[in-house]
Amino acid sequence: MTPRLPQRAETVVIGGGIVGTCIAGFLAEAGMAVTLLDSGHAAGSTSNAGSLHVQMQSRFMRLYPAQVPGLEAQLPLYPLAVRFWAELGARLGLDFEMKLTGGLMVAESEEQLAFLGHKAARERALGLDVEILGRSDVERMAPYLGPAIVGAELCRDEGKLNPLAANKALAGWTRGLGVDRRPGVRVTAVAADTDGFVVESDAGRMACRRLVIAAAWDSGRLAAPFGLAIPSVAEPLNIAITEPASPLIGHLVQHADRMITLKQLGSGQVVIGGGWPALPAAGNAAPGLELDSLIASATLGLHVVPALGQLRILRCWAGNNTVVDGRGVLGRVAGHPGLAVAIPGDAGYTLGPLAARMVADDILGRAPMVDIEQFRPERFNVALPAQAAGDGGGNGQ
Amino acid sequence: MGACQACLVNVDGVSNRRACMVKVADGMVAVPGGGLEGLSAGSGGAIEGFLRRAADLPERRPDVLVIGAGPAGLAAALVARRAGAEVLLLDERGSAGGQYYKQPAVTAGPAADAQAREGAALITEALAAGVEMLADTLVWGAYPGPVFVASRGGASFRVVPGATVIATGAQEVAWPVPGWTLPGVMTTGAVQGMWRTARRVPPGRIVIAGNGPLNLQLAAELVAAGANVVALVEAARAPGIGQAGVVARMAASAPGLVRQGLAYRLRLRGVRMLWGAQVRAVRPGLEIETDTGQVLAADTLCLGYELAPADELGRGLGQQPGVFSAGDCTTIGGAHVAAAAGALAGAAAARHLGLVADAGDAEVRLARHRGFQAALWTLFAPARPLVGHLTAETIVCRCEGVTAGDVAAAQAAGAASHAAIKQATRLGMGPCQGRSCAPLLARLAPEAMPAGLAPRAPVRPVRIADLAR
Ligand code: FES
Repeated sequence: MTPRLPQRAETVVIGGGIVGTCIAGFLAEAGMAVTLLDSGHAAGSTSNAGSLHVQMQSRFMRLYPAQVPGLEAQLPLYPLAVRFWAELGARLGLDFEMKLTGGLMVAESEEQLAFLGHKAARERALGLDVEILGRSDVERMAPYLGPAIVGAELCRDEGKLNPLAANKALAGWTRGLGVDRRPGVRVTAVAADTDGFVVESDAGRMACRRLVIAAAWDSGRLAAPFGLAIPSVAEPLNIAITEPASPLIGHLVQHADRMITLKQLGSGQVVIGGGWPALPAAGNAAPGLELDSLIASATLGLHVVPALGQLRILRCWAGNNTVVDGRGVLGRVAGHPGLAVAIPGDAGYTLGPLAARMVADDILGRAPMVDIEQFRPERFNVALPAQAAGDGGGNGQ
Repeated sequence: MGACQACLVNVDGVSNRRACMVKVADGMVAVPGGGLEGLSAGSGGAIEGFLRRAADLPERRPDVLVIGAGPAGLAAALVARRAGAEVLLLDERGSAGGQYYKQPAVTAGPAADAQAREGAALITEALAAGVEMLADTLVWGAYPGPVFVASRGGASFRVVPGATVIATGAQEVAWPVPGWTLPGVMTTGAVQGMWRTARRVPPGRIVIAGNGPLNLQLAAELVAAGANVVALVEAARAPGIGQAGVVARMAASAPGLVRQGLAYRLRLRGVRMLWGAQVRAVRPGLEIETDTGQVLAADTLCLGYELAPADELGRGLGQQPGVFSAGDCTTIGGAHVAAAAGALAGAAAARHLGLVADAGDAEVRLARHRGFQAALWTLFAPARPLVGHLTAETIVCRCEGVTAGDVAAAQAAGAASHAAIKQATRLGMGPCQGRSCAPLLARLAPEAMPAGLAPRAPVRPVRIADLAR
């Protein structure tokens, strides 16, 4: 049985993933008493398996062309976010098993390579360190790639970390700061109250002065009572992991025209993901797995890295990516003092700690290290029938 | 066998093959520790029309799919076939029969015993009736539909059956005491399998320890084979005069089995019997300590305490119309219960297709053998509960090297569910996917703790090349 919640708390963060955990930690470092509610039992319900993405993902550009401007708007955040991961680990003395090996997006036709060239030019204009490689460069730098690969876009800032190690280390850090972590608590409703907010959950009702919604795809539902129509949806994706093998694949590997993300973890295991769908699940249940996605991931993986054929897939799981409008939804909510939202945007695990820092600084009244204005939740404001429009620019403090 | 993935070897350059499932052949090169080897740049090549989808896998559409060719599966297949269904029977091993009807793979040594002969007759009968049997075929996935996926000979195929009988049997649960992973410590089932298929017995002094009749049977078989069985450590008390009534009840329901049991006892006259005792620790060399204070020296220790249903496929699929489970993969009841339950499941599968099926006297046999089992287990009721003896250093998850102390530390740090313990320690994330360690974790974690997810495909590791071809 999940223990009942205390009746009051100062600050409640909903969502114990990478974003909620980091916000809870940053606020606790600033002296706040934080209660962290998570519907699951450990961070890790999301689709990310430790990739540190920087370049635009071709999959996303194809699937959501309307969101490309949003993606480009937040592109400069990605290299900062990767650096922030490294700084956070160093500052806290935590080992996330991070490796900045660079990422390759491979092409297997001149047409795909031309697409990458065009993409790279725009990314370079936005400050990314990217480069187009031909077949001979690819052979030299990534001899594990199959003969079909004619070239690639190299992004030096990309890499990977061990999400299990990172989640565990960061959870321990928040615990050390006195954050009251409450796993297994599903929030059913939130509402404004005279002196703050009330949170209803399956473990009871709790009043608080400050509320941070960091609940990924579920954030839209939780923010609706405050006049925000955030179109956050869950996109369940299939991920497969192999048994360990000797080190072979250094880079984070993606494809210009196919859905695949492939990397080898420090354990030697190879993780194959990249956007193959899983079955949406009702409520809080885990998404279902599709055979189609497993077969497609395996054949793509084998095609891109032929040596993978010998390896056995140990396990598949499905996690939810959160799709909004290509941009993060970050910061305090005008008209609702004490309320903030934190949805980092595509490749949310990469952006997680930086996005959390930005939102925590916004709550603490400090100047965020990156301008937060274009990510404000207000862009989703709708008029609430029973409530006057907000007083505008309300301060969370 | 085949579940724990603790015996991976590199065979002829192919890494991570299960030694327990690979038949030795002349000229074969097997090297240990295949787990971390095997990837070299540039092996293999581009495949034509490379992107495959589920629909590209070959598909079979039998009336009835039976998974597992042990007593339950063979009985189910036979009844369904006789009802007129087209039956496809798949088994992971090299030959049908399962653990109980295990078929010898060599001609050397003594001929097959009655149990193996009975199995051989049943297999012949099923084949003659027209059951299609595929051995060496691993069913690793069950998806809604249901659609099953299997791999055989390096390629995969889908099975979309009209009805299904899952009869995947049981697997042994490790006995969690210090030293259970030492070389020389085996399971009762593994040693019996070695003897029954390959006519090999372990060298040196053998101690057999555990709970239940299988250990007694193994001891009798090994003694008859000329092996040096020095002691049998049984968790149940020595049968006394007070149990005469139980034995009489058993004799009434299955006189043959009682006669067999008495024969085992006679054969074991030279073996030291430790009743009401459990192994509490094993030290290198093998020095075996019991919870009654005895210390035994041995070269091989066979541990046979508990079995757990191998029910991943059924649990992962959940309740589905037309899918039936029978035998030890539902509840552990032994071969005779399984055979009767299998016949009933085969009939149910056939009826699901609108056929008229006859399971004969299976209903009566099921009741009789269940009664026998209940009586048998009152005889073999352990003197003290079977909990093992976990110290902080005892390995709980062998694949990932997680100890009981690691689990306790994770719980102390706030892990309040099986999933959280898994994330914190990696317990359950190894090649066996928790099949070996989940029962041990269940012992360590409080009963009210939320358990993990239902098993998901692949329920056994599957080679990437087997999916792509
Ligand atoms: S023993 Fe195999 S995963 Fe734990």
